[in-house]
Amino acid sequence: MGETKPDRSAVPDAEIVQLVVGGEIDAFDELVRRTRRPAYRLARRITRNHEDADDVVQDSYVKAFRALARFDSKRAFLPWFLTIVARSALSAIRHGARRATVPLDEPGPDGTTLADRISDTPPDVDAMRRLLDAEEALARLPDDQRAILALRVDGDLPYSEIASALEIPVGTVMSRLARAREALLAEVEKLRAARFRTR
Amino acid sequence: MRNERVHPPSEELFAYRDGELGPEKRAIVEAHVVGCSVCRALIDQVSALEAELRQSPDSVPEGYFDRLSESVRGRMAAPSSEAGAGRVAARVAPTETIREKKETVHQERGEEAAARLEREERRESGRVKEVPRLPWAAVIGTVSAAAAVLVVVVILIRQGPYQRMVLPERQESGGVKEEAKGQVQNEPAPSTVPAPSVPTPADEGAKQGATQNRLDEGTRDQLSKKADEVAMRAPAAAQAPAPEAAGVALKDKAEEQRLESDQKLAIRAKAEPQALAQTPMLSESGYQSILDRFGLPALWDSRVTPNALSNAEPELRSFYMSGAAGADSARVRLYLAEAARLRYGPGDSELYDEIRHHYQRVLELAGPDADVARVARERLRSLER
Repeated sequence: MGETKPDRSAVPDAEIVQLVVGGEIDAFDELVRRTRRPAYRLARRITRNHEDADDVVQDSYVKAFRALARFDSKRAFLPWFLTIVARSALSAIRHGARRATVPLDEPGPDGTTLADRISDTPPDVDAMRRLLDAEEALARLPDDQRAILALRVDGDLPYSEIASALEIPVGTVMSRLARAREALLAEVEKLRAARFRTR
Repeated sequence: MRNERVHPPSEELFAYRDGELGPEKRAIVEAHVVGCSVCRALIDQVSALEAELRQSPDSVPEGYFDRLSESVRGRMAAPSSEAGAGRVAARVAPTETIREKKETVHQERGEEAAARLEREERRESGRVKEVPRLPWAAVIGTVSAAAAVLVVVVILIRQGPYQRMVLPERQESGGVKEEAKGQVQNEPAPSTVPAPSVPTPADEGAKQGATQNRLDEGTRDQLSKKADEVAMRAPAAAQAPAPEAAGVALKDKAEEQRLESDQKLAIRAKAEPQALAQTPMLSESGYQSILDRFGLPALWDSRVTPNALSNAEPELRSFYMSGAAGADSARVRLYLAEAARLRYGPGDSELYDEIRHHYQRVLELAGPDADVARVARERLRSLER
C-alpha cells in the first residue's frame, strides 16, 4: 500500500474504461474526476437541492461502474454517464425524495447565497442581475422543461443523447426543448418587467 | 410575436442553432435566418441566456468534489486481498461491495430507497425486465391525494346548494345578489393560476415548487403587514353594514364554521404563510366562492357594478388578510383597489395615496399573472391622469 497512483489524466476515456473493466478499479477515479463537476451541476439543476444532487451523483457512479462492462467504449463516457445522472435525478424528484428545494436567496451548503457567489465573478451589477434572472427563471420551470434544458445547457448533450436519457424520440426532444427555451425567455421577461415596475 | 407562417417553427430554428438539422433543412432555415432579424434576435436571446446559465458558479466549496471522489471510491473499493486476484475478482468485488452498500442503505434509508437503487441498476445494466414491485408509498400517496381532492370537491358541491339556500335571504335584504348578477355580463371565470404566455404542461408539483422559489421571507412579511394596513384603513361605514348588505347569514351555523375556518387560516397564515401560498386549491375554492356569491368575474373589469363591489369588499378584505388568497392575492388586491376607488373624490389626497398604493402592490404581487398586471397598470395610469 502507499503506492502513488499513476497519472492517467492524458489517457483517453475509452482506455480508462478498458482498464477498469480489466480489473484496475483505481482507474475509475480518473473517470470520476473528469465527470464529477458536470454530473453534479446537472443533478443540482434537476433536483434543485444539494442533498438530492449528492445522492444522485453517488448513486449514478455506482450504476455506471456496474454497467461499465456493457458500455461501448467507442462512445464518449461523459454523455453516457450524464444520461444516467439525468434519469437518476428525474427518478429522485418523481419519487419525492427530499423535495425541499433551496430558494435562490438562501445560503447553500457552503454558507453563501447565489448572489454572493455571482457577485465575485462578473464585473458589473447588470451582469449579476442577468445571471440571477436566468437562474430564477430556470427554477420556475416545470421539472421536465428544466431537466431537458439542464441536459442541453449543463450537459451539452446532443439531441440523440438527450433522447436516450429521457427515453423519448429525437423529434420530441426538439419540440420539448423549444417549448422549454420559450418558457425560459418568457419567465426572464416577466422577472425583468416586474423589477422595472417596482423601481 | 413571430408569425409561424412566415418563420420556421421554433423547434427547427433552435435545432438549427444547435447544429442538429439535416443538411436539406439546415439550408432552408439558414437561408431564412440570414435575412430575418427577428429569428436572429430570438436565437441570440436564447444563446445569451444559456451562456449566462453555464457561467453560474457552483454552489459547493471546492473540497466537496474531492470528498465526492472519496465517497465514490469508498463504494467502489475492493478489500485488498481480492484486489490482486485479476479480472474475475475485480468483477466480484464491486458486486460484493455494492451488496454491502445495499445492506447499509436498507438500514439507513429504508427498503424503498434500496429497492429503487436495485431496480435502476438492473435497468442500466440491461438485465432481465424488472418485475414490477408495488410502490406502496406512491400508492398510499396517490390514494391520499385522491381523497383530498374528493373532500375539496364535496366542499365545493356543498357550497353550491348552500348558496342557493342563502339567496332568498339576500333577496329579502335588497335583492343585491340578483342585481349584481344581472349587471355583470360575463360568467365568472374559474379562479386558477393564470396560464403563462407560452404553453407549459400543467404540473402541480412544479407549480408548488416554482411558487416556493418565488416567495421569500421579505415578500411574506410584506404581504402580512400590508394586509393589516388595509384592514386598518377600511372605513367603519363600509364594514358595519357589510354583513347585511352582502346578505351573509352570519348566524347560519355553516357560515360560522366557514368564518371560523378563515380565522384558523389567518392564524395559520402567520405561522406558515409560505405553506398556505402553496395551496392553490385553498385559494381557488376561497376566491371562486366569493366571486360566485357576489357575481364577480375572476378579474375586475369595468362592468362590475359599484353595488356588487361594495358588497363584496369586506369579504375580499377578510380573505386577503387571512393569507389564504395565495396565487389570487393580486386579483383580490385589485378588487380592493377598485372598491377604495369607489369612495374617491377629487381632492382626497389620502385616499388617492391609498388607491395608488393598492395598484402598486397588485403589480408587485402579480408575478406571472400578466392579465392582472395589465389591468393594474391601466387603472393606475387612469388614476394619475
